Amino acid sequence: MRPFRFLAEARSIATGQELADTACRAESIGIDVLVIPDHLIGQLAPIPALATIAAATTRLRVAAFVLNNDLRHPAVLAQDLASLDVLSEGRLEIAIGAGWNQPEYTAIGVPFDPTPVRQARLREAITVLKGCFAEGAFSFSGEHYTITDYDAAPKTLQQPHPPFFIGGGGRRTLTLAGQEAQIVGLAPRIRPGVIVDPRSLTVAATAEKIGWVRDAAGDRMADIEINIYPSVSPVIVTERPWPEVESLPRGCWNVRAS
Amino acid sequence: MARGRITSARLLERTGVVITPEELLDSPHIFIGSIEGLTEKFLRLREELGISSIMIGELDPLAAVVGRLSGT
Repeated sequence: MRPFRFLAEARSIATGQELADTACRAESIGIDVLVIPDHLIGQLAPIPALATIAAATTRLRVAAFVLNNDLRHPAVLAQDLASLDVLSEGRLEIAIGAGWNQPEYTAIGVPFDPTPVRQARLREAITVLKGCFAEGAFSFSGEHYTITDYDAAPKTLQQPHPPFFIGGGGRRTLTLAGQEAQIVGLAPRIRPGVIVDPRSLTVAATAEKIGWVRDAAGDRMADIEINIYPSVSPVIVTERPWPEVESLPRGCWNVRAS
Repeated sequence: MARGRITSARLLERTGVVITPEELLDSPHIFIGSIEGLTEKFLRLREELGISSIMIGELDPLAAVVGRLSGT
């Protein structure tokens, strides 16, 4: 059985000193990875914030949770991430997703493409990131990205690359995760209109999703860490859970922004 | 599992409800409970489903759970 690993989120807007204090506290209570979200609005940019967290600690790992692939060209992102891996002495994890927060796209004029297009772009971006991190020059000719004889620098300290985290609730994303990720996050299934499918919240649905990951991962499954995160309700610590649970909607509901 | 589907289909038909409070309490995606209860839930998720990586959200609410399970 794998040992537990815990991820926690640092408050998104903070001074450098507050971030450093939070990081030290996280490290002291046994948190393994401290994360910063990746949104354009209402927070510090994740890369410099994570560098600050890493500089204040020695064991704590860092990740943006979750990088929106559509906000940066993957080769540019690769340089940021590799720099972070170097500066943190190999404590970076790379959680990356296809993007979902349409208002951010609209605000800056980035096209919010249909899900299959965003997912295909994510798949290519992962290839580009891994290519940039690996030794030597790299070329790639895809539908979305073209890289020509590019010897990216710096290289990541963790070789061949830092652990990738890919999360989702549908079979297509979990297949990509099973093929490419070291950590697979399980999420509820989202219907068009950003509505959670309640039946995808159950233990049985979770077991089905793990089966999809296993089908895609094959022999790699033994090396994959499975992650879960609370995504449809805030964390509530209470001696009386029933009233809280009974007050949750039982039908479909809108995804809480995170 | 098949039985669960029938139950929820009936629930939906009769009441518009598609998931029961029991299922929500047990859901791997919902962290509502006591420190003791959530500690047991995480142990059960690892035992039964192999889930060993847990994102707890903000640092403070579940710090006591992390304290109990970290390093195990």
